[in-house]
Amino acid sequence: MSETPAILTEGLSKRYPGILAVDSLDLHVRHGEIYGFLGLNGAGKTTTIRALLGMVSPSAGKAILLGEQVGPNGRGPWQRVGHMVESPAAYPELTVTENLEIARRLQRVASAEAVSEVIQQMGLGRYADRKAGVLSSGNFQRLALARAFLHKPDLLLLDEPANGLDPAGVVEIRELLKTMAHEQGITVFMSSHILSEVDRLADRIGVIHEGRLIEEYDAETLEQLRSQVLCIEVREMEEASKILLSAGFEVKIIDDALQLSDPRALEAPDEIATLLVNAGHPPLKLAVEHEDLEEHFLRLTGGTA
Amino acid sequence: MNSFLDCFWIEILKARRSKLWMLVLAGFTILPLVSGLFMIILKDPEKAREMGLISMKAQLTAGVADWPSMFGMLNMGIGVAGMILFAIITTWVFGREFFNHTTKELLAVPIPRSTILATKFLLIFIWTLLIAIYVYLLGLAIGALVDIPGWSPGLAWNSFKSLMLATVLTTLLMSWVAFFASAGRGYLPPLGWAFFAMATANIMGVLGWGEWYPWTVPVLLGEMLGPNPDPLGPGSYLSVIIASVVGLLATFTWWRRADQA
Repeated sequence: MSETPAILTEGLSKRYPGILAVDSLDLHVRHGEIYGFLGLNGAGKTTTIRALLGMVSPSAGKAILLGEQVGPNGRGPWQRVGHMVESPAAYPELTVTENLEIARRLQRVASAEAVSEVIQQMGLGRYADRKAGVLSSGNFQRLALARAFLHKPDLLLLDEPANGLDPAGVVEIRELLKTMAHEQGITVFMSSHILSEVDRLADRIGVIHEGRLIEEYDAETLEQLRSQVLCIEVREMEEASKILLSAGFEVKIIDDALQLSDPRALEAPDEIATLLVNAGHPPLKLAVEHEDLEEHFLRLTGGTA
Repeated sequence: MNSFLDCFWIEILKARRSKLWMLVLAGFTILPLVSGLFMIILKDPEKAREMGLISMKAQLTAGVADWPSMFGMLNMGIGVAGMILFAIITTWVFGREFFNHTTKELLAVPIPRSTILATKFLLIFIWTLLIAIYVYLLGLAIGALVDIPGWSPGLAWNSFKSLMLATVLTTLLMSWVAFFASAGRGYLPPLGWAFFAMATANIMGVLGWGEWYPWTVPVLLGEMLGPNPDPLGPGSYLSVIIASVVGLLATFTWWRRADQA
């Protein structure tokens, strides 16, 4: 495996009139890993992907894909890169096969078999002769992904790859991307608003907010960083809350449950249970719960969790 | 595989699958049909009045029913209708990539953007030439049916050359439409430009500057010459070529440098 990262950006910035969409982004994506790129709408995810693909020219900094600097005039290692940017797109009056035949010729793939192979791979066999304009949104998404996979790229840049897919399709694409990355060594850079999807799939995660990369973790670190809370359900919420407050715990009432994040409470939930039982308010439920990724992400980006 | 041929194949496939070529063909079919109708009327205005083709009050000053007039009408029609219908073709060839959001599929590919653009322009060029040939052949058939006088092989050949010249000149100016379709990212800006160009062409023609205003030149070619050989000065042709090159450079530069967001 090469020492050069699959994606390297140095101080990558993109400024539009009145807005700094991407601000001094330093990305370092290793070969063969799945990198999840998280951010709220307007955070700069799509602009970053467009800059990586040479579709917008950076205001400052540079992007290097597979060892080759991107742009100007569309320069880049495109024969080795597959992509799906923003919404899927295809020529609506052309069939699935014709759309992929166009992609094959644009990607300089010599083998005509590549089209039928990717149709089978993406489960589009039944729709091969159907016009793209009449496909369901899920199959339209599959067509866009097929276009990205067609030339067997070394690097995939995917913007919301699971959009529009049904639950079975989401699992299928997740497994396909995992196989591509972990067995075939393909690097996958994917943005997604389906946070749980990124959580399940990515080897590393970067969080972008207002154009800046504000956190970057591998999946294990993220797991460790997630905060824990002790959730308690009782019949008399207010009374139980007063008892815990008088015992020196900080208590919040969220979604019909008492939540304690005090390390003392997390380390000894049995003492809390005893306290409540002795006060005549036995817990109906008492459990240490992880904050999920969504809450963590919203907290990072200043949203409400 | 040759990337230019592949891109051209792609453009032809997209054009074949669209309904636009039928609509444009239908639009241009009107031109020889109307020319033929005028020939019928001019040939025998009294009979035309009796048949109800024209009002009893109509004052006909358009000319006489003969082959030179017929060819003149076809030439002028290509210059005027071509400015709009060729613009619709160009708008579709370029603007549909933005309308269907497929532009991004053309950018990060191992084929230079200039090759993709060149094949789009080549398609437009061949498309308009085929339309001109169709209009000419249909005009010949209709003229023969109406049985108008004044035919000669030399006249027919010169008229054909004039028609093709008017078509080429009009098509050359489509580079501006391509630019507005690209920079405007869709259908409305290029069509707006086409109507603006046609309006200014008329104004410049009325003011007497038409020979030096590129968008008036193709119309003048039909108006002034009809079937005769080229009487416009080289300055007129040069103005069209310069305008075309400016439009081409603007389009190529935009695709090379502009943000495709």
